[in-house]
Amino acid sequence: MALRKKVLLKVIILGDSGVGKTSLMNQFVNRKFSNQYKATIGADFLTKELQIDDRLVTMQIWDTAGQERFQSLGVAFYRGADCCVLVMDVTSPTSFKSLESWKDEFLIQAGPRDPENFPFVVLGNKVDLENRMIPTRKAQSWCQEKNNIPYYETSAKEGVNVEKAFETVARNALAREKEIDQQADFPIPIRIPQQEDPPKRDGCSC
Amino acid sequence: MAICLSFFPPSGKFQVLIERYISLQANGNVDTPEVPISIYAKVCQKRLEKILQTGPKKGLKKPTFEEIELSKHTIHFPSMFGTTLEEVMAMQRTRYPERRLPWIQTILSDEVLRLNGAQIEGIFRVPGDLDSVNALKVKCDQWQFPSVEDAHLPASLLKFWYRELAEPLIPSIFYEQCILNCDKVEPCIRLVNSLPEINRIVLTYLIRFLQIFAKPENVTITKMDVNNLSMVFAPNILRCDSDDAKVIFENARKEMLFIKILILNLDTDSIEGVI
Repeated sequence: MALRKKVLLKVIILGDSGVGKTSLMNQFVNRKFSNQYKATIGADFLTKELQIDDRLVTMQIWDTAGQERFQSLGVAFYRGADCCVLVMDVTSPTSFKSLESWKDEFLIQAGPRDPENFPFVVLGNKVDLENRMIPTRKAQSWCQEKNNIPYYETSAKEGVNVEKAFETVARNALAREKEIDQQADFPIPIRIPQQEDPPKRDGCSC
Repeated sequence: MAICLSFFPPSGKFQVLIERYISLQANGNVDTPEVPISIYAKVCQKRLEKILQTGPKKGLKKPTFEEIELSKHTIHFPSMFGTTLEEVMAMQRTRYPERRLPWIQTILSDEVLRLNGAQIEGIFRVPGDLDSVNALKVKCDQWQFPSVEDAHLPASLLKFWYRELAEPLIPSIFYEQCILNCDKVEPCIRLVNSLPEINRIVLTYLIRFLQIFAKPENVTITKMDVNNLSMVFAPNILRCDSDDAKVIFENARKEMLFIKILILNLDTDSIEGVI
């Protein structure tokens, strides 16, 4: 590869309602935090350019509504994702418990190649609050069990660790991008001539 | 077969065969005094129809033993979740002949209020613990109501009940009109009044209930203003049939506006005291 083409990374943020998905995205992209309490409608994305080593990458970050209806709507949104950010609220045990189903849901809907090694990043948000319920250790050990998912504790409100977390998101997505690039690096496409009658197969195709 | 059909849809080829087989069994001609096959066949019919729409229930995961047990149990004791309003009413007729509204709707709504849900931050937005919500659902299906402490549990289950109705609370034939008129008060109100009677009263009860949460003194604490309430409830009241993600998201805003108009404008006094 002589020319380094510009890279677009598609990142999906998932997690229960009210854990701070929109706030994290806003803090990362606009460096702003709003105290407004607002349920997200459908899904929306923001982009941000980022320098990772010698590469300029554009991150397209998809914020999704945590509402139940949109959970079954993933396919169109999840497909083609390069990294998935799972968010929980460290003051809400329920949101921690849900991580597992969000992860499964994503893998089922997005259907990535090599799901075992698909890059996830887990964020424990709202560490600025005092009534914390999920200890760091507990979250870390969950992440370790899941093939060593990177874990960050963030505060979208105070901008703690947000930048760092998203940089890891970009790096991990980029690493995967490279692997796939190499796999798909065939110089000339092979053409298979169309046949009039496809050969009959025995049995069922499933 | 009924149990299988609550988890796995048949392939396209097999679907035709299985439909024919089920319909042959459903007419009652093959019933024996010991085994009323047609009852099973009718359950199979319903489950087949549902699973074809929704796809495999658990994605790639195996069903648990509890889920299989429940699937078996509900052959003879149908759940009040995932049915039509008419079926729910029929189910409670002998137990509560005087009730005009579904028992499950009123008991869950009352419970949210009793647990001070109108004063809890993020009510109806923050989900309840999934296992506890499921446990509550199982109890409700046995007409019991255990005491719970977290208002998010009945709140989540209530949303789930509306969302899972076999036909949306505002039936599909009215959907387009809701979207078209989502910014006009009069047509929205008229639309509600033109709904089938049971849908109209169930919806009016729900809107009256949401009007309590929309009061300023509650919103300051819950942070769930009329916009948020409409946003989280719209998907439980209206169901967009499109597969096109773009259409779904464009409509989501309109669905929300429609519900907002109802919360702000629908006169719900007529439902006062009705159970």
